[in-house]
Amino acid sequence: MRKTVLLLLSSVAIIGCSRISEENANTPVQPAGQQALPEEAGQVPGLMVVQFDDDMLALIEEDLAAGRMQTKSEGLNELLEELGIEEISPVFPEDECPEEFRARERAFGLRNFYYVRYDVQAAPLTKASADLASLPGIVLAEPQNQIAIQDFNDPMLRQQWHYNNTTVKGADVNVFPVWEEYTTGNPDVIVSVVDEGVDLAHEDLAANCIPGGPDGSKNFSTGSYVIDPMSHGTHVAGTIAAVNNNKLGVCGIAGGDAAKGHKGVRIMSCQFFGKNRDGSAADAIRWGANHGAVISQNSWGYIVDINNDGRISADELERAKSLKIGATEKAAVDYFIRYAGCDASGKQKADSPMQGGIVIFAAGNDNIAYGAPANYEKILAVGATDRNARRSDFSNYGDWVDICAPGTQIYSTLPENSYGASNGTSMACPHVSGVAALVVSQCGGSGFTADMLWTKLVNSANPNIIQSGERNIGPLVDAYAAILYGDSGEPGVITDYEVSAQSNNINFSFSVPEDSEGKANYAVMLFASKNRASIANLDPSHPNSDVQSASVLTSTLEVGATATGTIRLLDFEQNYYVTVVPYSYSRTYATPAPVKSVVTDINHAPTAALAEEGPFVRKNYEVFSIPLSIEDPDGHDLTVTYKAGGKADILRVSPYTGAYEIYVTGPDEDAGTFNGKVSVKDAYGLEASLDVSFTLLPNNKPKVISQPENKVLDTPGGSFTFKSGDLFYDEDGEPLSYNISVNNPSVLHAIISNGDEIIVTALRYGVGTITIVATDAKKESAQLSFSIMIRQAGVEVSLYPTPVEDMLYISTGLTEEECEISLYNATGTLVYKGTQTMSAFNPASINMVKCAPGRYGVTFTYAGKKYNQTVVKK
Amino acid sequence: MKRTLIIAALAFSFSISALAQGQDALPFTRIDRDPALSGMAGASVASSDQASWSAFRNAAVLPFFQGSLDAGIGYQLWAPSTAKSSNINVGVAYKFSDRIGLSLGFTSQSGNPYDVVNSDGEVSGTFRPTDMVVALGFGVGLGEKFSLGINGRYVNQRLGEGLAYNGFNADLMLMFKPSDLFQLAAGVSTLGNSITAVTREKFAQPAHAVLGAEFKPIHGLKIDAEAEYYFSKNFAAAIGAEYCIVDIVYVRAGYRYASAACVIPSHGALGLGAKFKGFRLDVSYLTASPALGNTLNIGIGFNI
Repeated sequence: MRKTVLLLLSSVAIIGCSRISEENANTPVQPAGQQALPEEAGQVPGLMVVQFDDDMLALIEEDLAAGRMQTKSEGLNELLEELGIEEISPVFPEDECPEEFRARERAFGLRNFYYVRYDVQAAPLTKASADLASLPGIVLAEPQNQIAIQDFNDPMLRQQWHYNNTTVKGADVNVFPVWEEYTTGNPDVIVSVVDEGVDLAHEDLAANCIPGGPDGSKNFSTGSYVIDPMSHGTHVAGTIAAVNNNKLGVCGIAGGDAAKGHKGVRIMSCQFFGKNRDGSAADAIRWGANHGAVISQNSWGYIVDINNDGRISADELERAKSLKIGATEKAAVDYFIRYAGCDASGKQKADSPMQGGIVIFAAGNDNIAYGAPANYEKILAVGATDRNARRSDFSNYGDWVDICAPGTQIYSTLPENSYGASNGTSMACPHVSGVAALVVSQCGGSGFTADMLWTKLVNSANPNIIQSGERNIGPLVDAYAAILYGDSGEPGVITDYEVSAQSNNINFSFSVPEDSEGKANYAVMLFASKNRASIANLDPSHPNSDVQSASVLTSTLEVGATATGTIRLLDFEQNYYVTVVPYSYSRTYATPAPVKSVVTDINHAPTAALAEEGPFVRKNYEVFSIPLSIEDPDGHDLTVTYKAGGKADILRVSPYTGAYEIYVTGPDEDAGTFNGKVSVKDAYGLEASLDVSFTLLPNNKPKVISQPENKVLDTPGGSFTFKSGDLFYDEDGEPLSYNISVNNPSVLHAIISNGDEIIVTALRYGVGTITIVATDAKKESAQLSFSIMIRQAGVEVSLYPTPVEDMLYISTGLTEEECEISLYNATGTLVYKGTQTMSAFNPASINMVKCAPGRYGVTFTYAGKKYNQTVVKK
Repeated sequence: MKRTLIIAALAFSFSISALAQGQDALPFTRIDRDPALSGMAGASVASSDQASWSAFRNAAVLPFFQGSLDAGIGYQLWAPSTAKSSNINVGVAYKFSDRIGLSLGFTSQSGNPYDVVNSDGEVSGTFRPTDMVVALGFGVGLGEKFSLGINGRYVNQRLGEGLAYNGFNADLMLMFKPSDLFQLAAGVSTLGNSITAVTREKFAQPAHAVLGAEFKPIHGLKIDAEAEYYFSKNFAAAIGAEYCIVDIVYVRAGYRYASAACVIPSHGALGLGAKFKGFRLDVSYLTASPALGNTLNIGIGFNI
């Protein structure tokens, strides 16, 4: 119900936006009567995104993971109450990340992003943002932009003109020839639909959808694997992969061919718009990267029409102009582009059709020249067209829009086995995602990269057919042209090649053939089967199920150069028949080379050794790595486990070398010698092991080597500095962290600058004590204190406060002296007489609470000088 | 009527005594302003000389004053080594008849200026505290040998900007003069309102009962003595003597004993004066006291 209301309002908004934005283009001055946008416009109330640096993360991560809001960061703890912080939670929860990817996610910095929920009554957005941003250890603090779907806004149509436009010929996505000549999609290609929930049980979608589960679709609004079928997400998914040729509903661009038994690409629903609460879009994008998707489909953007009045005011336009992708979404997009289709080491997975991922976003429906997050340069931004080959009047535009596709009156699936038409760049975007899925289905494989896909989509798109005037929405996507783009003609032929076995792998070696244009052939497929007939009668585009294959990219080599490739994970000690088949960029296959046979070998055990010689003796504060050399002579995947010797050592993949290492965090463990054990097992059960030993020397706590003397200053505003290294010493030579506090911050200000310079500034007259605590990595510390008095020049002694209410203090010079003090009332009656030791920092005190209001005389002798001072009791 | 007044005054004094747990409020009311009799350590309650100062001590002396008008003015440097103040004192007495007399007194005290300092030791300025007393005395004779005196005083104390205290106090005294050689005075003095400090503590004024006598055994010699019992459970007694040389020069001395917390501490006093044709000049000097040592009081007077 909530979404229905939203959609109806949005229809009005799109109509209104068109008119208002044109007016505003020429009149940037805010119209009379319009109110400036509130500071929190377009932001999620009470939600900030912060990025901690690694040091800060180390301080707080453990406490936050344990559900404790109070952490080891005093600065953050102070802000808890000040901002009314209610929750600090990771944007990318580690427990949702497969074990193998955790190291790379941490190295990539995803672990540093946190959501901070705070009380908007306690702190306005600007204060929350400023306070958090000013806290040392926080690299970034920004509000979370509100996110909205590029909504539907027009009635249904019953024809999918967008696949075959009869009004303006060619103004469609040109998918029919691809279906006829190349492919209707490949289930190896997974498209993550980051949107509302997809109706995974829809009659025209179910066959191409991945069910909810730990490795499949996920609902980020509830944190469960139960997807709520919703209109927008289902409509988007249908354009990409509604099942084709099944006598039901509509066609998807990459929906397969049911009549021929060919499945289409698969839809992974990453639902983050919920019925009651929205989840993290960034987390949803990341999920796809870690679970097999190589295309991230995103028909959503940040809210521009803040007050939802259907008009884009001057303020709203100005805000949209400066709007850019949020930090978490940016991190997730970067991560998807870098790591989708890749294993933990960043290499393309054997079963992935593409190395890296492509992130596709709708440009937005506000008819303005701005749109975020689609305007991020690494995102493929999609504008919308209509059947008359014009820019859809709602489509955002600008040079940042990379490509366009039909977005008006788009017919697709809706929940509960229904269908309908909708408008929006939300509808254009899945056309590009569908075409991208088709291209990957046809051209993907070993060596095919996301950059190649981007190039094929954008460079092959039709730049001439869409009439958008000066409001650029990019060229029109063309599925057929994208498949063909970069084709170098007919592939060359390989007449001879070398083949050998290593364990259950078969290695191929051949000379790079020349294609019909005289260039190095694009690539070569390698095939192997225990069945000779399957190789002898090979159809390279559809090999029999008993045939195993691999691909070798050869276009980067010289013609005639030696290329090598391997088919892995075959059976041991078996006779295999093999051949090689060159193919072109557009997957045109040459005649297979002559069939050869080879017998695979036995399995060989993996090896494990230290990559550096020990012994590994380190100081207790050190964090260090013990590099390992773990190999399998057969190139098999290995399972590497580690039984830690203590609390400090873990096994990890080095984010720098990609090799295994024992990572030792010395401060986590006490001194001693620790013995861990690395166990390595290949996929077939052969094992190796390695004992790893390291020693942590006893920690030496910091010491105070110089105690600053108390000081008396006579000028507020003056400063002086200490070097912390002159005050403290650590025998281990480790860097110390310093905490400085002042008991009277209205009198003194003290900070640590550049890590070791302590700057003390006198703010006003009075006395303050500065305490400096030096802490080492083992949390052992030393501390010192000293006092500063700021007293007016020429004042030798000070009686304060006067008039006095209860306690009267008498401070003198730096030297402590025992003085006899007498206090007389106005008639000379002795009210107090006593001997006290006093100085500037140890003032004498007299309790005058029992003294009647009036004038009193205080007499004492200090440093040989007799003083008679008048004080007044209130 | 008289009994009623006495009962009321005693009741008042008891209530004040109950409050007087700490120091006395507005203690400077008890400073002796008379430059002549302060040379006798303030043993002056029964003395009918220098009637101009009677509004400060005992208006019951007015019916026994041997004249019709007495006026005096003086400068007093009080306790210069401790709670120093500079005081200007003025007193006037007038007898309307043999039985009735009236006296007026005024005192302005100026203390040492002090630095106004907050609890951080920051000085924001200086302030000179001041005190003021305005006194009115009424004496009436009760036959030839008795008299009754009543004093009323308004007291003001300015301690800082916006920090001032006001008080009222009164004396009720009886005097008995059986002969020209001897006279006796008794009464209660400095009965007044309590003062409430900023801390909400209440402080009583130095109310007390007093008994004094004057004896003139020979011509030119006068001996005065008095005893004070303060309702704050303090006690004081003073004795002083004056010797007159050829009816012109007066030499005075005295000593006051006071318990530790008594409002005017123990001290010794010396004095010198001169009278000629109704005009007089008097000086007193206090000594033998760490608090009041070097206190000086000088004044002139006139009577007809």
